[in-house]
Amino acid sequence: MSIRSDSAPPASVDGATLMSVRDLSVVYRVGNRLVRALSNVSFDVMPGRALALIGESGSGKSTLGSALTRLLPRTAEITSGSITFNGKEGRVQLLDLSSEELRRFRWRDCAVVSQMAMNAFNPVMTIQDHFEDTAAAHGLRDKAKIHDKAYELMETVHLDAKRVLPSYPHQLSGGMRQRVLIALSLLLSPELVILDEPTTALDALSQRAIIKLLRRLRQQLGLTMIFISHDLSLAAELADDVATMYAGQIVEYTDVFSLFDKPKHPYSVGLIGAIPDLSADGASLVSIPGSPPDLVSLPSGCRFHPRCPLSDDKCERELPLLVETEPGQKVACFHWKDAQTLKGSDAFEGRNS
Amino acid sequence: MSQASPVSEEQVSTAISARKRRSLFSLVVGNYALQRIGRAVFIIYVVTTVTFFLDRLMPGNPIQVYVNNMVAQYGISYNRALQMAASLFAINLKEPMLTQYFHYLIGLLHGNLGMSLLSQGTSVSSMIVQYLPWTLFSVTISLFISFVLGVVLGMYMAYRRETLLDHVVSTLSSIFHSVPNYLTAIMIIVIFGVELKWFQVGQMRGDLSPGVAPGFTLTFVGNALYHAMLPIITYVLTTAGTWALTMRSSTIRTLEEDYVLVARSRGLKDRRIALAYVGRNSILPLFAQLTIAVGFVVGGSVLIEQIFVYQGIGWVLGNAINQRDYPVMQGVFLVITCSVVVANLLADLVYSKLDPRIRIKG
Ligand SMILES: Nc1ncnc2c1ncn2[C@@H]1O[C@H](COP(=O)(O)OP(=O)(O)OP(=O)(O)O)[C@@H](O)[C@H]1O
Ligand SMILES: [Mg+2]
Repeated sequence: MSIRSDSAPPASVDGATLMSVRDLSVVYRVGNRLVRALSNVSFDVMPGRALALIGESGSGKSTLGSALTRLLPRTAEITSGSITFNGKEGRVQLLDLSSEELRRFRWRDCAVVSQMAMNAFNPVMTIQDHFEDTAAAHGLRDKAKIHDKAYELMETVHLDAKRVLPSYPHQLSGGMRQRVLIALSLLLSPELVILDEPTTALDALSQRAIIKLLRRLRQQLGLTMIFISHDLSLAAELADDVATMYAGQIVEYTDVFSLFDKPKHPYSVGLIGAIPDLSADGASLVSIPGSPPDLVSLPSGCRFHPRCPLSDDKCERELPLLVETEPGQKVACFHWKDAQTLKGSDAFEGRNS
Repeated sequence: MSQASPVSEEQVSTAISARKRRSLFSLVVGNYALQRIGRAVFIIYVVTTVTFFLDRLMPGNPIQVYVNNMVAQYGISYNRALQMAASLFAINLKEPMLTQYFHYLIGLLHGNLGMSLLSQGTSVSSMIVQYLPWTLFSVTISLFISFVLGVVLGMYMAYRRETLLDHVVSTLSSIFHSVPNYLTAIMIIVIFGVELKWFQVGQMRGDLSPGVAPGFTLTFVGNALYHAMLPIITYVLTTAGTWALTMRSSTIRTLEEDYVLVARSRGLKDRRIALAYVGRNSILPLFAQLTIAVGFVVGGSVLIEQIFVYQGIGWVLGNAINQRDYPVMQGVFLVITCSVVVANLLADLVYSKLDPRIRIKG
């Protein structure tokens, strides 16, 4: 795992955010139980930067990703908060948009490359049709122009446009479909692209290729991205900032260097310790004991306290808020100053792999 | 289609060029259409053979049926009736069955379906030419109406799940599906014809009203529709609901597909998604059932046409069965088999045109 030196400049001083999320809460209704998938999530996305959302499975990353374009399933409900998008077209409150305004907003301003690229395409339509359909939905009907643009995007993602554009989805491999979806996401030059685990369904080799592609796109186009992953090493390669999620909350938000250098939340420390580190051959692989809480009945106080080596009475009683420790760095932990001591220690069970 | 194996681009292009290099033989064997046509011919042969022998295994033969009728109706003595029958029917039922079978097959190959035993001097083919168009007319219209109606209703029900319309159509569909269609036909006559007197059952009998001449005139088409109306209503009532329920569940399944959600995230209009994404994919499985439905409706026409006295091929078959008119029975069965097989073929070909995953496999 390596930390790069080519990341975007730090957030602009005037603080013009592209998207800011405040106090966002989402519940799923399952029967008469409430699954509290997101609780009071707040964060900002700076233009030109890449934000990684990381966390264990079930921590609410995809829910957050879907909520940002309001594509949650019917059973979900946004119970509080606001999402402000500050794009070229001016400032919009996403939760106030009509369904028609929302439809226009999607893909034109914010495209989502989802976890499910394998089945993202209509099986009875060619790839070319998908490009035309998307363009037509946003009022662009000049077929020749769309074709040229699609052609160009195919080159950008290193696909043979001549062959791929007239193909049907089932004629393409998983990796190719993923590239096509990325190309399609760029069709309307959105200001924000959300990538939800764009590589999980792929083999290691295609995974590398996609990561390389995304890094190149970042450099070439200066894309603003939200990159959702449970793989911290991918986040390290792609992101400028990292938001660590636990049980539906953001517990730490910081730039990627500081996260790896000085993680401030015990959970982040645990996550970093759990990366199989190839450089330190055979070194101990650490895992966090216990499992994430049931989102139907959450623990009192800090949601991480049952698994945390630093927890005390206060953690059991009181929920720590996300507070700024340094400019651009936030953490939700009473003991963040001590988190460093956990690094490399066997507070999280060390396991020899 | 779900998990695509990560195939490299090289592998794909190799496979494609290999496909181009296929020999003529594999082209014929691998050709979807040719394969289907070959199978269709085989099915027709088998059904022809089976019906030939089954017809003759039915208790009683045409002479016996005729003699019994004569004795019962006109009080003619048994021997006299037998004599009449023997001179009337130019058939030799004493011939061994296999010989009859080969004669029949040879006749068939020459396009000769034989002569009716009971309507003297009428060839079976002329009867088919006369009566089949009426059945094709009513059955095609019924299938079309019930398919379209079912598809529209089914999609509507899937989109508006658990609404009043959904419940009403679901209930009615299950009722009409479980009641045999001839009962529906009888109920239509009794309730709407006899009790409510919404229409004159007697007038609607037959294929056309007296004095209406076939031709491409409005009067003719209108009159033909008028006479075909009751059978059509019966077919539609009994089958549209099944289409609707099938379409409903197919649509609900499609709505769960990832590509529908992705289409929404691409900002597509709901209408476009409903038609080109949800509808287009949900309708595919219905084509497989279309073939079954054709057989079902054509088979059902035997009773329906008898009940409404609609003079189509089903009506002819009903009469032929009652009188054991073997050549007519065989001819009609052959026609029914052919039309089901042809409908199958058409549905398959349409299906393969609609679903690129099948088209490419070739
Ligand atoms: N449609 C749904 N109905 C009910 N609960 C749901 C639904 N979708 C997600 N959840 C619940 O919400 C929580 C967050 O799910 P989410 O998919 O956002 O997690 P995630 O972080 O993306 O996980 P993964 O890494 O596995 O993709 C989980 O506990 C999950 O069980
Ligand atoms: Mg997810």
